[in-house]
Amino acid sequence: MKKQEWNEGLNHLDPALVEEYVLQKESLKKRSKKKKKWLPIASVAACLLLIVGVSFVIPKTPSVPTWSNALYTAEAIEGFFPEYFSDGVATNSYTKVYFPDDQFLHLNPLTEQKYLPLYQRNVLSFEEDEEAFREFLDTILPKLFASLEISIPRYEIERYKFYQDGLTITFPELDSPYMSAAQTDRRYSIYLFHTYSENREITLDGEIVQIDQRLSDQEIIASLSSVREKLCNVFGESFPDTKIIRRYYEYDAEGITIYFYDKSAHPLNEFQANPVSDSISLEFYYDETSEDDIETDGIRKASNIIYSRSRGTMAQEYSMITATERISLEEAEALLYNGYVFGGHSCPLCMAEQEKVDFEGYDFVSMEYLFRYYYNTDREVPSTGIPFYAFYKKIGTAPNGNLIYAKTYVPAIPVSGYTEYFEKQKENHGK
Amino acid sequence: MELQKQTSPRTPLPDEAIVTLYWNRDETAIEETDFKYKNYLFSVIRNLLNDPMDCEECLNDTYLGTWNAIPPTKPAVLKAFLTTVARRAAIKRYHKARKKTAIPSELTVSLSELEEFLSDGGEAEPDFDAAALGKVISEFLYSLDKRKRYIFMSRYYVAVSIEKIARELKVSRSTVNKELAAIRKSLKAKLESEGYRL
Repeated sequence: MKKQEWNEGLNHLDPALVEEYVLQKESLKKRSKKKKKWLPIASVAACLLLIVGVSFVIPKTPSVPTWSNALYTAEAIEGFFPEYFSDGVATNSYTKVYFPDDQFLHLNPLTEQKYLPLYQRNVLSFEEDEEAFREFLDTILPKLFASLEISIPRYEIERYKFYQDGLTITFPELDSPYMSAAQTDRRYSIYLFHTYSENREITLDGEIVQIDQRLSDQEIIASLSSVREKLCNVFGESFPDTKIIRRYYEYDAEGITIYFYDKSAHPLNEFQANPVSDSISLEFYYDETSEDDIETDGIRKASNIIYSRSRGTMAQEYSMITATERISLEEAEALLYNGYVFGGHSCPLCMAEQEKVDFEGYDFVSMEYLFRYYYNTDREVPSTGIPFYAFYKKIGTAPNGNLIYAKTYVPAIPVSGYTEYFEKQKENHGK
Repeated sequence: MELQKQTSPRTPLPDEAIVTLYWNRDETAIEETDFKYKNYLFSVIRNLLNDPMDCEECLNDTYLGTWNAIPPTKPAVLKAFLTTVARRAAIKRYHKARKKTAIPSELTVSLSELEEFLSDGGEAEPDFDAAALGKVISEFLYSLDKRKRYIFMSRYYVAVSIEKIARELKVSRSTVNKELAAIRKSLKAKLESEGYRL
């Protein structure tokens, strides 16, 4: 039998086998020998602890607080999590997040404000304006291509054909474009690709845009000072702040995005992973993370550089619609310990398989704004953002050494109908 | 696919919602697929092709293939369906490129383990029935226990390295190697019994 025949035969496997492989990947890992070896010992230890524990005091779960001034019901909060659209029920579980070290968790600060603002992400819908787009390009492209040390290729403006409405540019004489640019109903964007050069690297005035991922965030920021200056000059900006987001996907894929932006441009910048205001972002993506690789070569070249500028003002894009009382951390913990939490896992099957995590003695808490996700054919609808306490509890270590945290959310504002809603959830989850 | 970058907070859509977008012929389906599964698919394709440029092109083939297949298909597990499409696209590229040069990918290594009953031998014979072979391999896989099936799928379907499989299962590489050797032995017997010339 030939290798090609074998491979084509494998392409015709029963789809159920591939489904099983994909769905069982995580659960098979949990059934490793090491875990089984410790299971009996752990069970005996747990029993002993239980006996000893009962003889002292049975801790009481704090009672669920209620509020008379709630703007949202628990059922409405469900709409901030995409499970709403899968099987009609949100999860009362958690999301798994992976990090090599606590310092990369990017925890937002908690606030002591008595009242918290609620925001609305508005639909801007600026008209298509080819003249303004051309002016935008004429301002930026000469400086950009001078920095890339490439003569400006001939480009044409055309309507987007694929991703969204708006205008974009094409380079008729180039097989592989250096960049792309867009004017959509809300933003101007410039995308710079690393694939334009043979070495697959972006160079600005001869300097390769790269980082050493082994360095700390502060060291990386310092190492990029010259790049920041060059990019701000090219795009005509003066962004004073830098943010590094390290993303880890399960076990073996990783990305680092670095934003140059102005933190003071909008209060939400403090409580979001990605800045909501204008920014220049540098993306360093790769698919494989092996410890050996990091030890011997932690240098990562930028895959893309993206400049994003609003066509309106930040106040137009994100407006404050009201402010409401902040619930205290103690009240949020009471909800947490009662299991009245919202997760964020997108797969109902995986949710059902999740092991219960006891968040008592959680490791970290952070404040995050989440925006309600609307799913319909017309996606441009105003979206409301409310603050959540995000709790993290370490639940293990991945095979590559990454720490695994369970992350779950409790609204940081008064919400009504918790008990009724989560009783219903128990039925939906078959618990 | 970088063009779908957003600065607003965003969470991946559930699979059912993405499939609905495909069925509605809404092109954001591809954007949502890319947002949710790009890293996973890229790692699958990378095992098979290795070359980053090829991988990126293959990723686009995968999205196009998915767009063309849904509808009429309505996959029960989108991730599995995407895996199948990505593998088919990558295998096509692999054998096309392999005519010119050796491909330094994990797939090449995993295929070399099967050389006991696979030959290089060029293209598939014109009368070769891939679906029939797929059925035989499927039957064989159902005869294995779940753990062995997982190891087989990891190694020979998506060409995960032995080291990584060992890490996932928290066993040594030699344990995985032994289990793979046992699987290959019974697979060979199954193929011979079905009349395949090895």
